[in-house]
Amino acid sequence: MSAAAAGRDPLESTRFEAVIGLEVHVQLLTRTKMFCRCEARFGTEANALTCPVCLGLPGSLPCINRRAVESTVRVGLAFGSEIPLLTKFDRKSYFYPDLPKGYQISQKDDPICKGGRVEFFVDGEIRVARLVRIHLEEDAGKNIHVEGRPESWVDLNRAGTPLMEVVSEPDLRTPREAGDYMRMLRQVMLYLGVSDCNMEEGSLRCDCNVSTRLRGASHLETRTEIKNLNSFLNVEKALEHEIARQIRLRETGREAEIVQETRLYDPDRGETRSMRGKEEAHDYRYFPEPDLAPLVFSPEWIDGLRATLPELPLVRLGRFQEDLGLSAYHADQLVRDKEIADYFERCVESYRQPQSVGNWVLNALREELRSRGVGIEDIGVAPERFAELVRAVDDGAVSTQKARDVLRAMADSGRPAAELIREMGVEQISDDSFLRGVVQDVIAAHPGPVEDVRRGKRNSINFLVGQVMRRTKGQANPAMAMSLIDELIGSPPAE
Amino acid sequence: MEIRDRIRRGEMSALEAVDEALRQLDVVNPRLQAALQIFPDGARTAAAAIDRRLAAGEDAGPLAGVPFTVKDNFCTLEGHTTAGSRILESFASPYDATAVRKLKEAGAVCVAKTNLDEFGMGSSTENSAFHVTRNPWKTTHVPGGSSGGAAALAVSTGGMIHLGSDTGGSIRQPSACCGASGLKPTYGRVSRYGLVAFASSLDQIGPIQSSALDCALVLETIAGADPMDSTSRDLPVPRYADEAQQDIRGLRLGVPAEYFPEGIEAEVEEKVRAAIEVFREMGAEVRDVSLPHTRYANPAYVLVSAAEASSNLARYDGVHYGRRSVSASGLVDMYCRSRGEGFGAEVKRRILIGTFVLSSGYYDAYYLTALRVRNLIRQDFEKVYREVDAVVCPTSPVPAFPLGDRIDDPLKLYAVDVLTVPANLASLPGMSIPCGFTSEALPVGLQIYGRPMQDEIVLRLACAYQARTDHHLRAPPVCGWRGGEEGG
Amino acid sequence: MDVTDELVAKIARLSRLALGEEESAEMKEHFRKVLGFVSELESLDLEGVAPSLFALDASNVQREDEPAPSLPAGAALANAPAAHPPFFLVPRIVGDAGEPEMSP
Ligand SMILES: [Mg+2]
Ligand SMILES: [Zn+2]
Repeated sequence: MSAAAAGRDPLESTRFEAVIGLEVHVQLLTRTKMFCRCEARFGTEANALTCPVCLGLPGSLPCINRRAVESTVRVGLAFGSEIPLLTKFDRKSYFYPDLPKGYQISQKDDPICKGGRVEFFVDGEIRVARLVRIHLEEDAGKNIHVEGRPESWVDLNRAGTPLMEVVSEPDLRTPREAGDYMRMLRQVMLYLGVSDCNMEEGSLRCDCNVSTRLRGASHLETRTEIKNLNSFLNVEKALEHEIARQIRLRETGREAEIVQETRLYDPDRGETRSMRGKEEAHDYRYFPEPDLAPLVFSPEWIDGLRATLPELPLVRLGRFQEDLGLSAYHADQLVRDKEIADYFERCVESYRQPQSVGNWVLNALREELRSRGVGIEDIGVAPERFAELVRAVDDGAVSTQKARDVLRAMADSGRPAAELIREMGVEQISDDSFLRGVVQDVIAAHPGPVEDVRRGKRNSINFLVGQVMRRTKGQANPAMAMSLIDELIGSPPAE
Repeated sequence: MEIRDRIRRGEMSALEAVDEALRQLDVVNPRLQAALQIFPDGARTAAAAIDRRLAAGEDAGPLAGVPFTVKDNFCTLEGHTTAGSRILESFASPYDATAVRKLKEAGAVCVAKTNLDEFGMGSSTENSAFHVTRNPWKTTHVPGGSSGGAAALAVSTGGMIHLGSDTGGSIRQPSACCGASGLKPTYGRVSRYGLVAFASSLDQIGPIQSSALDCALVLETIAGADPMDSTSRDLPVPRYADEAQQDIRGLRLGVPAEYFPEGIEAEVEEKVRAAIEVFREMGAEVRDVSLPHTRYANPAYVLVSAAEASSNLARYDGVHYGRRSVSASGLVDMYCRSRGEGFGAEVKRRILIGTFVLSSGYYDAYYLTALRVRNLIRQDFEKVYREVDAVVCPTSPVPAFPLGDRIDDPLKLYAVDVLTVPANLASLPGMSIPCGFTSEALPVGLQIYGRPMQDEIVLRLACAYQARTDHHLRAPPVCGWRGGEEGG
Repeated sequence: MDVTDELVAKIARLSRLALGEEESAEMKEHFRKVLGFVSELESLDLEGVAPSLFALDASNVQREDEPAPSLPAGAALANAPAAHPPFFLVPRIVGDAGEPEMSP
């Protein structure tokens, strides 16, 4: 396991520190593309989701997707960015087969969001990375390089889909921080519902800018850029390798070999390497997109969007700890997924035992979701009903073990816990006088094991509990049965 | 539009109208080379369908059966959309430009696509990759450009609609050269969707006809907001034909001294000044005004239009459509050769200049400077329009010139745009109508500039002038609508 | 400014335009002329004059996020100079390191 995955700082033992800034590209969850009305989805035949606009045919013109703009503003508001009242789009020119117009419509001088800060946890400690900007642009298509063929294939289904770019200041210091920063971005995007953040489909892609310097220095050294990383693990590993490479060069007096360049991470070989030998200097020739009018926002409109923001993960985390008394660990686990956290809160509303409700949501409920392969909205158990089940367990009306069967039956039938507990015959008997009678009968019937217990042979008590369970068809509360046996035999307390 | 009325009254079928148009094209086109493509079969099929609808008593649209041509930089489902370039020689558009679609929905029938300077870059139609077009008044002369094909046909045939495009004068200057009436509407008045872009912030679509009233009728049909063009204005479309026939008494006209520059041909100045007198006689108020930054308009235009063109033409790279070089090795070489072989010299010049002015280190000095000057030009007009309702001036300082005369010196060719580019820089409506002929029997164009979104004032002045004069009624020697015999 | 062969070559490369020798020389000459022609602008005092970035004084032109049909099957490739349906085909995109180059 890599150092990053193990949560260690690979720089701990060196004189150097790393300076990391991330550019994270987030695919927005819209029905249509950024500048045309083709559907923005995947899994269709190549080039089937295209029209004159996203093919860049002669004469075609772009039209701004309102929802993509709103999503970007909402993300900016969530991170405390400034939303300038005027923003515009610009053309960024370069030739590439996945870019049909020869330019990408992006934003240069007037992005939708300026500044902002992302707060996130690293090993339970809060960290902050400032944002430079968040802007909106169109994605490119896909080039497919087929092994052993002298050609490449081009699919433009993704061309023109909305892409948000979140650019951080170089405020991150370790691979782990970079990973956790990106995890927090993902969490917030999911909370806002602006992206599905599906990593396998490349909905979240990251370019890392990284340099190294003597610890404590304040200047910036030459940085390299590692392009197109699409998992948290790859971000962390690529950074580790690149940082290690740079430090190796520094320690051997070869820092001149650290040059500003784009590098590619090869997960198989566990290294980064330079992508182009003699890289052509890029000159993107940005200029304002003349086919689009600028966007002018009113403060009222921005406030209206602010009102649509949900409570964000970190705020909720604090509230779960302070108001509900949850541990940092449990609170963190619960807030990670907004749907789970919402569900949990509704359960707590009808049964105010956050600890046990939290436990049950994180364990039994999540396991049930996993085994069914469904989301929480499709499980078919209303939070109020789920809360009843937890209450039944806490009251001793059903055993922890049986409660899982009950949950499954609730999900199958949609019926309330109490009914199913009765029907399934899994009511737990916690009635003291009834159980006392059963235990007395068992003691009378098994003098040998009783004697063993008196002599301190604890194993035999399990036998006696088993007998109680047998006589009650498994419905006796086992904990109560055990303490009654001890009480009635007068055995020495368990070690 | 006489032909429209005759079809409406049932004196003529749509098919007969289209056949007549095709007959005229047969007579005229071999001499003028004004059309790049003619669609006899498609046009006759479409006309027959209109006739069936008319016979069934259906409403076949306000322009039912009227034949039309479009400059070949409009995307059409018919034929190819070449923009006058080898690089698009075999490109077949899967969609119609919005203006084309609107004409078709109004019942008009596409009969031909007209010649142009490649991608609209030129003022003589000599930059077409396919062939030059000749001036119907004098076939040794250019028809102007870039909408030279449309302007040549507008005066040599009858009963058709012709659409052109204007980035720096490409409707008005050929109209002046050919004695046609051509309107560049206010930027944003007509959707550009489907117009092969040259310079997006300057391009505008408009009609070129033999009369201003016909221009009004066409504008009425093609104007209006289009959800496919974010720069089209969502403002009501006036009934331009009605508006155009209103009285001009009391309208205030400005005559800018800067529009009679050194080097203007004496005959041009003389005819234009005479035309201005006609307006005065009709009750318009004429006064001198100043547009002091006029001389800077052309340099600014050269920079802005080239910058946008370099970007707009980046898509012609031989990857997804259009010409691809067969002799390339590797991707970058494929790009360079496809574009090197596919574009003509003038297009390459503009792409290079445009790339240069946008490139790092030169952007501020050239591109931004040009945009600041553009602002000055706009402010000039804003100021003048506080005092007057329209500006009248020559369209071009020179009448049509001989083929080959200016083509070897691009700057000499750019010079003929000097009086038309301000309208594009300032997003204003501008129109050219014939106001007389030189001693060589070449037409002279009078230009009328209006306030933004007051295209109807421009049309009103043009119609009033044409109600008083007959320059627009004169037929050129090469003329197809008189049964093919050549007059003059 | 001084227009050099290198400048013309650099701009041609950036524009992805292959130019012959004669053409390059002509373009260089053209650059000189155009830069001379536009040098007239240098005489203007543009202090405080904002660049006119948009041709239109409109803003906020946006559309709703509602899908419309894409082109019919096969139409995207109908004009392709080379295709391996359903893909466009281009010469292999190879970087100097001999591996597929990534989008810049
Ligand atoms: Mg980007
Ligand atoms: Zn599309």
